[in-house]
Amino acid sequence: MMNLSETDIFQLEALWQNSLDPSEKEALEKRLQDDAEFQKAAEDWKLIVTKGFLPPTEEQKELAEIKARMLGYAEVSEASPKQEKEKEQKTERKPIIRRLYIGLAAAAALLLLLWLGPLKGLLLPDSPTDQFFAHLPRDNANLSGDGETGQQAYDRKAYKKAYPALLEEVAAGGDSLNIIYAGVAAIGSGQAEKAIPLLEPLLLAENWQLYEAEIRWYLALAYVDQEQWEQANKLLLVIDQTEGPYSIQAKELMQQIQNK
Amino acid sequence: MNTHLTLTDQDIIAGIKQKNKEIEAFFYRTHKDKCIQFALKKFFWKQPDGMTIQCDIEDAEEIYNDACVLFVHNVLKDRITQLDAKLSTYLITTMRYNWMNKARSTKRTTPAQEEGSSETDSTNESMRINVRKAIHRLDPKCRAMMTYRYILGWEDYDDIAKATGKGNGDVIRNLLSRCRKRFREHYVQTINFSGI
Repeated sequence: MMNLSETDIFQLEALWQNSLDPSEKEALEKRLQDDAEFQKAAEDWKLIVTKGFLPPTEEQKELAEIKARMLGYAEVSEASPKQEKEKEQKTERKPIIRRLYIGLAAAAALLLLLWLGPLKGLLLPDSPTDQFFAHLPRDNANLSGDGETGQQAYDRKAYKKAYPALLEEVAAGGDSLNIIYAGVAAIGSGQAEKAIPLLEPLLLAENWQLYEAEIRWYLALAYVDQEQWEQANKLLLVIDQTEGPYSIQAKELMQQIQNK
Repeated sequence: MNTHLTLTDQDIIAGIKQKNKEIEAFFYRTHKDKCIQFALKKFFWKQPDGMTIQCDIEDAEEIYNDACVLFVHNVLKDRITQLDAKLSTYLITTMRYNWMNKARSTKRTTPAQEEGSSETDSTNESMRINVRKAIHRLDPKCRAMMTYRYILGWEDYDDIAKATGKGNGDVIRNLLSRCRKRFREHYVQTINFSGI
């Protein structure tokens, strides 16, 4: 290990981090191959870098204790509002009927404000895409099994997790229908721009006719989100004219975006 | 817990060093939301096939907890005595490296997950103890440098420069080079002394 110069170490670490210039990389790999002493010294240093700086057993115990304390702080901070609410519920049960009337009155007032007043803009979803987006249930009959993480995440509407996992499953040779669900998951997780390159090719391909309506509708939603009004309008017009499963929503959405 | 506690980053370091649990809890909770929101927005990993993995809430909480644990431990061990960057910047940088390690390789194992012969285990344990002894023999400046680069795994010298307030990446590279040389000398001496 002491046989290595600082330049050697700098280059070796860059090699292990895959950040070395290709020509330098080639030269260094050749040197490692030709010079046994250098190779041994490099291996010794790599062992120290990868394993030696990990905490010894005693420090692992200390780290575990600190981790337990941190998790304790996390639990307390997360539990507090709930505990406070429970406490509040226990101590304030007597005027429950009066509170019910007040609650109903407040709800009615809020509804009026929501539909008629300035709160409408604040409380409704930000974009038409959010307003019209709905979960597309998976077509179980066409899927390979329920055990995969991406599909489970999708069913739970955990779209952020589902999106990359579904694509991984497709890349690994899984059911290509997952591409559609990945597109839906992308829109559902606020990454509509990622749905476009997934769904556009499906619409052009001939073997997706069974799912054409779904693909067209979700692609239209992605276009709306990305403010690609012309493309969105084209698709929505087709959906409206075919009077398929999304024609009512398409008509409403077109009305909303007609001035864009 | 006094929710109106206001402390500087240096107060927090001093409080953690004095094993003040209230300050430790304050430190943990004060930065949590900001760091997690940052991770959710900014941390992603592009795979070789072009697919992008984004940091989700579970990942963010896990890497935040780990960053806090490492910070507290390094303060308690005198490896970090002061910060020139904001504490949140330090935590986010550690989180970023934790995230990169987590995302880019599932091959990288934690000590608890490692498997091997008991001989390898005991050799690794001896090596780790000797590494810690060698680090402990360094001056505080070099101890901090080695901590950032190898214990926390920060690969970018500019990040270390920002956290320590010591010039720029080139300065850190030179400083780290000197510290690593001293470390290697101490390490060899430690091995010779312990006979392992």
